[in-house]
Amino acid sequence: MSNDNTTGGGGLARRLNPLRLPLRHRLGLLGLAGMAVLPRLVSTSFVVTLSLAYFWGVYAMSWDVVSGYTGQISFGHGVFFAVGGYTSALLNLGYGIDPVLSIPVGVVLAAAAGLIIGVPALRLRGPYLSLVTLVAPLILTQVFIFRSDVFNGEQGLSGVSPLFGLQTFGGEVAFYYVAFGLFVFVLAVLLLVTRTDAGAVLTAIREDPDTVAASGLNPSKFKIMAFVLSAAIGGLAGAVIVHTPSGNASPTTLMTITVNVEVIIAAILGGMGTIVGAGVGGILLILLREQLAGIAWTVPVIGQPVSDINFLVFALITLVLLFVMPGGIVRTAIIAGRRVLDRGSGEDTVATDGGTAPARRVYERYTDRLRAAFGGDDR
Amino acid sequence: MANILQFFVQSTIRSGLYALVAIGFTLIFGVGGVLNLAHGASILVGAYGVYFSVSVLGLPTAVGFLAGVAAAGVFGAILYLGLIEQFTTEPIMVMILTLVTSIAVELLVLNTAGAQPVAIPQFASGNFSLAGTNVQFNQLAIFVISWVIIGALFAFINYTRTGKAILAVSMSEKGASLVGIDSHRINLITWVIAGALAGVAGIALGSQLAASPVLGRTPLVLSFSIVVLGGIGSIRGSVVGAYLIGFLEVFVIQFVSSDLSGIAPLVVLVLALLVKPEGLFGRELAE
Amino acid sequence: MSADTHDLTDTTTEEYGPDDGLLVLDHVTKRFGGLTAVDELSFAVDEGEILGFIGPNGAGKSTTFNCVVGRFPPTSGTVYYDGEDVTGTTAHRMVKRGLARTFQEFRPLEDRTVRANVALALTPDKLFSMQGLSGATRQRANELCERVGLGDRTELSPNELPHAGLLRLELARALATDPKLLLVDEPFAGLSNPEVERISELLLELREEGLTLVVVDHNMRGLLSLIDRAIVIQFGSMIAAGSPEAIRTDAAVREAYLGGDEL
Repeated sequence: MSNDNTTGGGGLARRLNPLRLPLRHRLGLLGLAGMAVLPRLVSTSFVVTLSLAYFWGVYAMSWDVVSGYTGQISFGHGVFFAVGGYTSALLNLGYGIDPVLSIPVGVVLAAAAGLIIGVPALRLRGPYLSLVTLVAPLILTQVFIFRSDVFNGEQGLSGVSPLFGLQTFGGEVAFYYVAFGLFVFVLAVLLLVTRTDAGAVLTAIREDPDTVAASGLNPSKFKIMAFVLSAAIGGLAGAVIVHTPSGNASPTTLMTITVNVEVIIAAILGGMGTIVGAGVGGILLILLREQLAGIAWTVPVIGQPVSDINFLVFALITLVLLFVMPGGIVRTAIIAGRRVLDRGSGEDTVATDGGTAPARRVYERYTDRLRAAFGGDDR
Repeated sequence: MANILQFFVQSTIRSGLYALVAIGFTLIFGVGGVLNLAHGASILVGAYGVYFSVSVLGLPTAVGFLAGVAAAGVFGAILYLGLIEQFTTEPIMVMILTLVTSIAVELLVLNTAGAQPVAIPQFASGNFSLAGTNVQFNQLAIFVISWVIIGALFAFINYTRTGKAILAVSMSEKGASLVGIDSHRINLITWVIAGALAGVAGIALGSQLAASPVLGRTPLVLSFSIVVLGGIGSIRGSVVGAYLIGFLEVFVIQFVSSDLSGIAPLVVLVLALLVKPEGLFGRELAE
Repeated sequence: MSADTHDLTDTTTEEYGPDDGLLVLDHVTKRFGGLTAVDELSFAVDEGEILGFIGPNGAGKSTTFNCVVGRFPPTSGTVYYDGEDVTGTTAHRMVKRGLARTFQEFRPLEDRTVRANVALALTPDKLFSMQGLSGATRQRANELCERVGLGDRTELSPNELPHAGLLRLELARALATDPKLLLVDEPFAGLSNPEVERISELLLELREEGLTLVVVDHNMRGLLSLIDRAIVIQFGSMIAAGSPEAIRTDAAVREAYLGGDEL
């Protein structure tokens, strides 16, 4: 299991002593500390961007725990964001319930949605399950359109009370800490789950469920747990974001096909099956999008400014990154850092972070094919 | 009674279109075992290929149709050579990449042709009355084209060398290569044919209403439902599936509520996946 | 050492009860569509023996095996384990009851080290457990690797292991679940003769330690000195049972293998 490297004994207290942590963990903590003081250093508009970025970090992490770890790719994670967000917003608007109470209800319903989608996952393998997750948001969208008297269709719901009664204008920093706090909380919870025994079981399920069963572990139980946990966290992010200026209870914030795909892209870019990578990927995705929005340069053939086609750019970047850093940004950085410091094998292996990324294998296949193609001895 | 007749006429017309929409998807699913989420994009390429040729470049309609179908076929080839071939054993990766591709194509169309629906020339103009229902000649043409294509595909697969090779690859790629079939070439041919058929479907869809950048979305979901219902990779199954879904949709529109027409195939899809994942005509997955 | 050897003629269907052995199959049948892969098969595995379960390719060995380990339920018939009806029990529950298996095609988790593969089987089946964070699991996994002869290769990835190494890893993973009965699926396929001997020795040692073993194979190669008793099946039915020597000379067995595999 993870952290196999530490020789016996020790105990948790010693393990959590910051000075004894491996370098990358210390760097991570340093990074979090830096993010905590950031609002003092940067402009308000950047604070607003970062707040949204944290929510995307949580979106991507929630996706990662089920898809990156168990290998059951969800194409419709927006369903969970939407169930959480709309539930909280509707309770708040309809019954005047305070967000602090309505958000947990959203989380519970999202978890229930996770159960509903997770149970079929026990019978359906691979692509067939993905099909169900792909269709789930479409069904929800149809429901939203059908009952637009309740859900207000494409527009979504407005006039939802902000969390803790904060002011939209002037409260940017406070909302920053709401988003940042959520990010840190979710990161901690998911690290706890994935770095203890469950993480090793989840990645084992991704590799071979039959081997897991032959090891005396119940794959179904762990799959369901991953789905419910993932859905609950996605629901939490959705429920919180509708009570902040970063988003509102609308399909654009929570569940359009673009949201669903960008979550996947974020996690792949950062590094599937690592939690940390997905979190970083989510943040980077928003920062990148913000950067692209500022580029006024017009792409020649299409005749459109870069800012209008940022998704196209993402798609291209994803493909390129699959070649350049198949394990995602975070894994690549760790490996590169290790090489620089020459710390080699004494440290945790990559398997700690959820094993060789599927993308890695894809990459190897790509290079093999290219070699074969140029080598010329093939077909 | 008139109601019932009307129901049958409308269902039959719609089902023919749906069979046309699903058949390329089935072909790829059956032969390569690939869930092609860019099927909607191929449909889009077909429809907008015609739009650009005819409305922008001013080519004759017939040439435009050929250009649209050819563009979709080429798009299929690009997809296969550029993406799919590298990921044949990674179905999930294929799904992600084809999904990203399809959204990218959608956005490309949106950014070049705009969000406004554009008109696609019809196969035939005018209309006539059948059993009290007003039927456009264009709809009739689509119905006929649908059956001509189904028939041609059946004949192609069962009676030509290439078609038999496609069948062999669909059963076992390993076995096929043992008897000297170049599965790479066969897969490429399949993708081109499937792309071209999607192109035809795109033109048909666009000519009935109009084409917009989201033209490919509903057909993609429909194809899924049809293929899962009919059984993975069975052409006969998907034709039956198309008719079931077509009749179901018209039934829901006519007798329940037109607002629910979009949700009916989705519900059928989920139920089919849960109850009978192998579909009506699929091969039973035994150990 | 020697277990009670059933009479050679005793191959017809006979009633078996739950207490006739550690593992008992009573009229187990498995059909796939129209194909009957296992046909009314009954036999018992006695505690402490090494039973050879033999048949030509396609005889239904793997299907029988899968019905027992819970990969899929039999169409009809009963499986008893340790005196209890366990028909249709899922795979992970059978493992917890003490019935472990190896995969013929070797299915290690290729994303982690040899030791981590074994450690997974030591992990408790609980959603939240931090056992792995203590050094105990690691140490136990090391011991098990040592036990099967992989002590110096714990840090390797499974795809760096040779064929025999993968078999040893399969055994280590199975042993990590603390089984009473171990089903070993075609262990000797692809092994050289010295390797066969070494693995046989290991299996005999495990039996000395109290393990009951069922070794599945399509021929008798390597089994003669290993097993106490053999059962031969063909077309899903038993055609012979008895001591290895008796099996070799049995007429029905010879006919079954005629022109096909060598026994």
